[in-house]
Amino acid sequence: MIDFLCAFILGLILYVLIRNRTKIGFISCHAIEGVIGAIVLGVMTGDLSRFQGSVLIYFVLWSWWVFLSSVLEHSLTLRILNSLKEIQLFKTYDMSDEFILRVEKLVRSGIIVRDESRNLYSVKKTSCFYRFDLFMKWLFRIENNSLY
Amino acid sequence: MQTNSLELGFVFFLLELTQLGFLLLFSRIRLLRTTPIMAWLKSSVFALLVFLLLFAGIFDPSQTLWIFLFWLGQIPLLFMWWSTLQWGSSVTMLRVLGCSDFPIDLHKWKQMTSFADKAQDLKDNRLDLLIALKLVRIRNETYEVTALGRFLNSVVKCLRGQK
Repeated sequence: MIDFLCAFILGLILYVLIRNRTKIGFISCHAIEGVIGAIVLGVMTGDLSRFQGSVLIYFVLWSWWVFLSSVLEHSLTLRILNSLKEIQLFKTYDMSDEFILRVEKLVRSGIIVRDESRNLYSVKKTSCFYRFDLFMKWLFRIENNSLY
Repeated sequence: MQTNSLELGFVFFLLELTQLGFLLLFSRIRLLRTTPIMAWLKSSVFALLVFLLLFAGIFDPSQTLWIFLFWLGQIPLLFMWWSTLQWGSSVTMLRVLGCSDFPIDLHKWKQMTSFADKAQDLKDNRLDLLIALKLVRIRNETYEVTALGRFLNSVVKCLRGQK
């Protein structure tokens, strides 16, 4: 039953390679890693009953790995650590950089529209993501959180 | 009873639906309403209990273990979705901008999200956490990254695909 472990390690190596060598995003990298790992596992195990058990354990490992890498990748605390390392000892992370970083990501994703001439920002209210978020906000009665 | 992959996939789907149902209960019903983190914790536990009560008799022991594994695997995935929905900073920025009926400039937007006035508190809070985790230390009134911090930073940079 170490086949799931081999598939997981293979997926992990694949993830690091894709992330370092291409511009593919975080979610897509994990999706590719997960699917290829599961296919490799299927080829390694061969019979279906063994494959079911192995793929479940693989799924548990993979999902916790996605969670851990998400923390490592998106944590503000670790970004502050990175800036301390980069700028050596004297400066700390400027939160304006954090804000600008997020604005650029939102603009790139097409949810936010930037008026280049006046430098003004607005939400593209017809975008699927915005509508989905409004629905989720209503569904789970989420209140606006002023600090992030 | 033997199950095939399709049935197990259906079980997984039902498990997710059950937890979402509990999340709805803990979010919308006034008497049960609680904090987002407690809502998520309670819904995870209740979903597993309901499933074990309903299906433990139907599936054989190994498949009950499979339900548990499904549950264990879906916890981090569902939590990432829930935490983004509740506390995601980009999502909050989007919501704040969405409240405005007309386009606004960057400065105004930043003020509306409290990135401006509470940023220092948040930064101090995170620096305290880094010190507590022994990733950073204070020397001569400046911050210094420890060996452990440097190692973790290298791992993170490798995962992010940074040089």
